[in-house]
Amino acid sequence: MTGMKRKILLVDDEPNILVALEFLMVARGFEVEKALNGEEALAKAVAFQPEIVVLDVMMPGMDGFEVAKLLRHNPSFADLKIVFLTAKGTESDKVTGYTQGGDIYLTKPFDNDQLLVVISELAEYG
Amino acid sequence: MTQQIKTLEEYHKTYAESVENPEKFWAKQAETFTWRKPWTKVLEHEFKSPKVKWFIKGKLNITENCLDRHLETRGDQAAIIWEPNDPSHAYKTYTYRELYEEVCRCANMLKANGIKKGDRVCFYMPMVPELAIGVLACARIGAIHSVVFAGFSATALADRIKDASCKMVICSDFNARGNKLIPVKEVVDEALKMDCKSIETVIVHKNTGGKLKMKRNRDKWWHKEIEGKRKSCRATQMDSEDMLFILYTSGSTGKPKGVVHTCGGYMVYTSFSFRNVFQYQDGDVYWCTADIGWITGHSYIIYGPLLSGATTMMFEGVPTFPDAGRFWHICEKHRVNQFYTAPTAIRALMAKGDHWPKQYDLNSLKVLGSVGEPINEEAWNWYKEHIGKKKLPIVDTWWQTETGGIMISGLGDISPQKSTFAGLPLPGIQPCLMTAEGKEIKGNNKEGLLCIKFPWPSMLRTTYGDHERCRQVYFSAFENMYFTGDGARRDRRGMYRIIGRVDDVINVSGHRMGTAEVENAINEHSNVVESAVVGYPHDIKGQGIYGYVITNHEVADRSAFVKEIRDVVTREIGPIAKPDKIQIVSGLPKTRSGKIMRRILRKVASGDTKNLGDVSTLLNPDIVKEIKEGAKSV
Repeated sequence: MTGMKRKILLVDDEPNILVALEFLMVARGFEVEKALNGEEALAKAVAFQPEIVVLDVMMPGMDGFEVAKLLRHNPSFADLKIVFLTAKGTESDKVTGYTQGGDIYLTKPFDNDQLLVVISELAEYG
Repeated sequence: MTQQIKTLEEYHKTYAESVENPEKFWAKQAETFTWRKPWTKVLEHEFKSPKVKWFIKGKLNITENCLDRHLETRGDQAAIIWEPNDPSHAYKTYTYRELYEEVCRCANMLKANGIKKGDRVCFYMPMVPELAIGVLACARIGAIHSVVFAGFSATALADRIKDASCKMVICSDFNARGNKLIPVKEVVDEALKMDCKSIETVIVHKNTGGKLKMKRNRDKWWHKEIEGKRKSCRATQMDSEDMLFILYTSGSTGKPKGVVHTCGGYMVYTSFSFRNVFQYQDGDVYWCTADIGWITGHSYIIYGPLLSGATTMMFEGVPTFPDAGRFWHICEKHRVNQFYTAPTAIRALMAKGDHWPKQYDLNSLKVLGSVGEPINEEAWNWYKEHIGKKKLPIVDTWWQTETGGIMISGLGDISPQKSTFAGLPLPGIQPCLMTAEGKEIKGNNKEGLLCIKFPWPSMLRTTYGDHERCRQVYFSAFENMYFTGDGARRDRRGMYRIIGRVDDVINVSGHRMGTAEVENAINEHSNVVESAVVGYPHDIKGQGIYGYVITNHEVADRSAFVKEIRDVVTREIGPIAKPDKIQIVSGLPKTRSGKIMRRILRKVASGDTKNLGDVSTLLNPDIVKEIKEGAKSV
């Protein structure tokens, strides 16, 4: 991909974390949009049309699995890459994550470098 | 040494890591210290009771980390440079080896005088090296130090001695501050007449010399007691969660609280925050102008710097003696690299003119710091331009006695800085904004009540002798949160700006004063029926103290009465709490339930009487008019 900035939507209910993730993504050349909950994430996804969404699962109101499911119902998000980033780490959580349309499932505590590598590869190779 | 963040990228990565996996993050920092026994678990916590434990079952002595571990690599490096009040007197340098030996000698002196692990020792001393030595000597043998700022009154000192049942007081004979000589030992004598039964010994350090009464079997000279004591002293093994010190601080109600800090977590956090906020490099000279009587002196003159193997300065005097160039003279003389002071000092020096800093070479400076209250824009600009030559970073550090270390601040020149903003949280610190109803405010560009939602290693563990008070004051306002008592704003970049106290606490020259505490003191005057105290904007101090007083009978000589009130407050608390303005009133505006409407009093005191809001619901609405009129002649 050349010229255009790659778009990423970061969803987490922790504002301080979003500040940190935003910085790290901007530094890697992404155009960033942020959302603090599921509803906001859906609205931003429609308006911003990201290529990648990094999605926290446990959020008040609509959780991340629900967000992924709704996104996948919409054909315009068929190519969207969904990365779950969550403290829910059991095997069945992961299965839920993938069946709801997740491409990658990372569990917290995550290693920053691992996250950055995963995102870069997704952006590079899809 | 703990991690030192070098780039903004590293900061954000570290921050994310520290929040996603706090235990792994803090264990990594803690591993860089000398432990007698490693911890079995990093953290246990619940904010209900509250109960917080870091580095569980870890064994250590903090002085082995401040001193012993540096002997091999930096034994001959200056640990403390002490600059005396009088610039014509010689300054003193203690290398790490010399400081180690002095601390050991002092520890042996304490032991010889019956002090053992867990005993409380009160310090009432000016800024002399022996204060730092004494504090570290306590820590060496596991005694708990309680430093009382030597500007507090005999009554305030007695209250603190009694609250902690201290066994010993260590003081100086006199204190030289500017061109004044303050009789320190005399204040101690007076305090000990107030039923301080727990005190067995008073150790008196001869500072200036001068005539002094020594009470037989109680008072002993430091220089005689320390004579012949060995220059080594095995450090007492402490648990991570053993008490390191008590430090008293004011709150919105009643008597001051003894904030308790413990060994392990405090050690890890003060060093980590020191190295990152000030970006200290080997060979630098770091100077914090605070007094050791406050938390800033504990964490960022003594522990943080020494744990990090730094050269830390101690200054005995005041910024304006012999003239308003003193700070800058000292910066030039000792080639100071990091300079950490209070907005009140900056404002006072700013008022004296730009020609003072211009006379000195300030090129050694790399980082400027501010502490005590948010630095106002005018002072920030002056500091940046005239001291920082427009290029140095200013770290506007926000923290509290209770937090033990700096919580929100820029890191040297690494993280973004903006005047009136403290900035981004340090790694491991999770601030949040709350509504009064207890809902978290998530977005940016928002204002709310500042809380911290996850434990950090140097947080207070209790208030001495009264754990329930600790719970009530800090952990009951919001579920599972530490409540700071401050309001704050988070901007679109996630930077925090501290707006000020949301309770009845006044910040005078960076020192917290509870209004209730000052009112209680004023009410000691025989002609006072009731009083109400509020803060108002003050050019130098940030906030001044404005007292409304109802008297028993008419006051004939107003200025004599005002002086008497000030004297009473000086006697009860200390000169720092003296009201700047006193207004005699016939009543106070009260709600129907009898609560004083401070909002109205604050507005009148600030000269902002245009919109006092609806006063019709008051019990006595007419009083407002009288107070408004009366304020004009204060």
